[in-house]
Amino acid sequence: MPALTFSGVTKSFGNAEVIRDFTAEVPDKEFLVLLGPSGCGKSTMLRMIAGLIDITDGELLFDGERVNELDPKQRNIAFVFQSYALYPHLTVKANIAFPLLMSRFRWWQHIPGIDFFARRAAMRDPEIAGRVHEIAEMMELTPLLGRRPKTLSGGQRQRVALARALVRDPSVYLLDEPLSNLDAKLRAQMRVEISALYERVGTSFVYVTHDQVEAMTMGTRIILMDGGVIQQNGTPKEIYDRPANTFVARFIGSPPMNLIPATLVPGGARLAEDVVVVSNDVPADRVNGNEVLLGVRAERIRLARSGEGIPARVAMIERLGAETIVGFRFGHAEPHTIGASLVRDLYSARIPGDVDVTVGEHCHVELDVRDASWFDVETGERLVSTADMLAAAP
Amino acid sequence: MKRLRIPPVGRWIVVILVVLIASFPVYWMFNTALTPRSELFTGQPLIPDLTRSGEIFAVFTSDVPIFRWLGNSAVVAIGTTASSLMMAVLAGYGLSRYKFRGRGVLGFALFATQMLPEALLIVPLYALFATLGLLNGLLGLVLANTAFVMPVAVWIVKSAMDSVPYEIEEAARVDGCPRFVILMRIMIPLTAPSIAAAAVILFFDGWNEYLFASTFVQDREFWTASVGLSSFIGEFITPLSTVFSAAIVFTIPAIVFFLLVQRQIVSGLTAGSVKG
Repeated sequence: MPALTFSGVTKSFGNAEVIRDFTAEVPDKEFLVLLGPSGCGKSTMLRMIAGLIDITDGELLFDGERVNELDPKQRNIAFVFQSYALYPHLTVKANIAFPLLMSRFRWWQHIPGIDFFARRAAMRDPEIAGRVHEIAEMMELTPLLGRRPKTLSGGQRQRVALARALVRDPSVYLLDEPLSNLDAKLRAQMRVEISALYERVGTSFVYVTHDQVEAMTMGTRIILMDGGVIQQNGTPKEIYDRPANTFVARFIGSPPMNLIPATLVPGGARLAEDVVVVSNDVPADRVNGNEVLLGVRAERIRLARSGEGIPARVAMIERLGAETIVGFRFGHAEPHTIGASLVRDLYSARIPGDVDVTVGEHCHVELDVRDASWFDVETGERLVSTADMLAAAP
Repeated sequence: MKRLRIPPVGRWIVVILVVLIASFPVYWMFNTALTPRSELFTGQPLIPDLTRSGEIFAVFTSDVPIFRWLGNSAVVAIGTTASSLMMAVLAGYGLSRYKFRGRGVLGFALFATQMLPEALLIVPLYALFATLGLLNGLLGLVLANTAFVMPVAVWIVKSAMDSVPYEIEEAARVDGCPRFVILMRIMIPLTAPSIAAAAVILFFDGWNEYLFASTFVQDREFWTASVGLSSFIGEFITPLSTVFSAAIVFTIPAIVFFLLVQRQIVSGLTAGSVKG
């Protein structure tokens, strides 16, 4: 069960570079999630790990051994495809048993004619039959073993695909957006099942998704990518609490992190409406008067009908039941009503679901800036704050 | 655009008309075979005289070596089908799945062979076969037919393999399947309907072929049924009933072959493999 090492991995299709200098160390038995928007190169990365496509440049190591030139079979991996990729002409049982047969067959057992008898004999082998039934039992597929994939529902097909991956004992499981074709309810159920599976098999998982909920709930480590480049590599908590740049801050979290323009002043920062927030946790390498972006999560914002905070006006409300997401703008200007301007300059606060607010209502915003994130206005990179320095200290 | 809507009755009338037009030659062949020679030119009956059905098989008891000719036709048709399919499956898979320089040109070149009429190549082919000693034998016919019909089969198989999702093949690679086994165990079963359709086209082409058979083979012993059938046409007299009886006998193996493979020609085999 290997630790994965990516050393300057690059992938180009013709002149188009889709992955650039991917360098990361992933310890053994991690649930690594490759997260990013569509087209960021995460599926390409997974296919390179599997050996389904070549690595243009750089090195991929499994436990320190270079695997660039090895084919998928030699890498001992299991792959679950986004589209399931079941063998439609085989029964569920034959689908699950397929990897076992292939690993056991010698070349002459593939000769047409002989292969029929070899397959029949292998399927009766107690070791293979036992393993198939064990996995089918675990994935609750026993009643479906005789059926063909086309007679199964999406969730059942997904389970067969997982069972086919589980039936061997691979060194790493690779999963390419396996839940994206399922409905919301089934997706939530499968999320729990995959997490339980990870706990049970105790092997490395690499999971590709664009869904941050899947990443946050299942992953023990997340590599967030954009434009073929790693944006941040860390635990879900690190990525949520200390985003490396504004892309990460906006991508992770629902609603995304509020990025509020601010000017550093002695003892804090001045925000909109000339309100100063007091903080001794400001960027260490910036001086008073510098423009920065203050990143605050929605749950660190408190709304009040009156008080000391920044005057604001409620522009949007999303009721989620237990909680409500309130979109507001600083100042008391009339809200924009159409198009893209509806969300421009809009910040979000998360408040309990039983608080009654209405669109257009005036309110006061109080920010809890302890452990807040600070970003450079130009580059969007995280600015090291005094809290960061303390956290980094041994 | 508004679709032209034909009422159900009209649709049935159109279908019946098309069926009548398509089946008229068969009816004519059957009717003529059952009509005595004396009545052929004095007013053929509209309804075939089924009491004379046995006459159709009289051709077997004549001195014509019909079994021999049918056997030769079968060898040519099965040989053409088997050799063409074997190459078409490999070529179709290669053209569908491997990226190489000149792939498009090669595909077009295969297609372009269908633009040349067979008659154009018959003289150079004759010269070539004479040199190679392939005249007057069935192997030469199999080779010549294969050369002409194989490209059609390649295109049919290639198109079918194009429609098989890549992921299925990738899944097989991850499961430890060598390339050739992927072809045999995954791709061929999934494209079986198209391969069967190609087989029907190839078989019929080999079975019906006349031009090469009449040119390359002189020995009566190696005639195919199509050449034998045409030999009934004499300078002064053509025994129409015999010709049509033999024609019926000639069509039966082709129909049997079609019935055998038609079960394979069903679509939707890949259903359920990928999302949906």
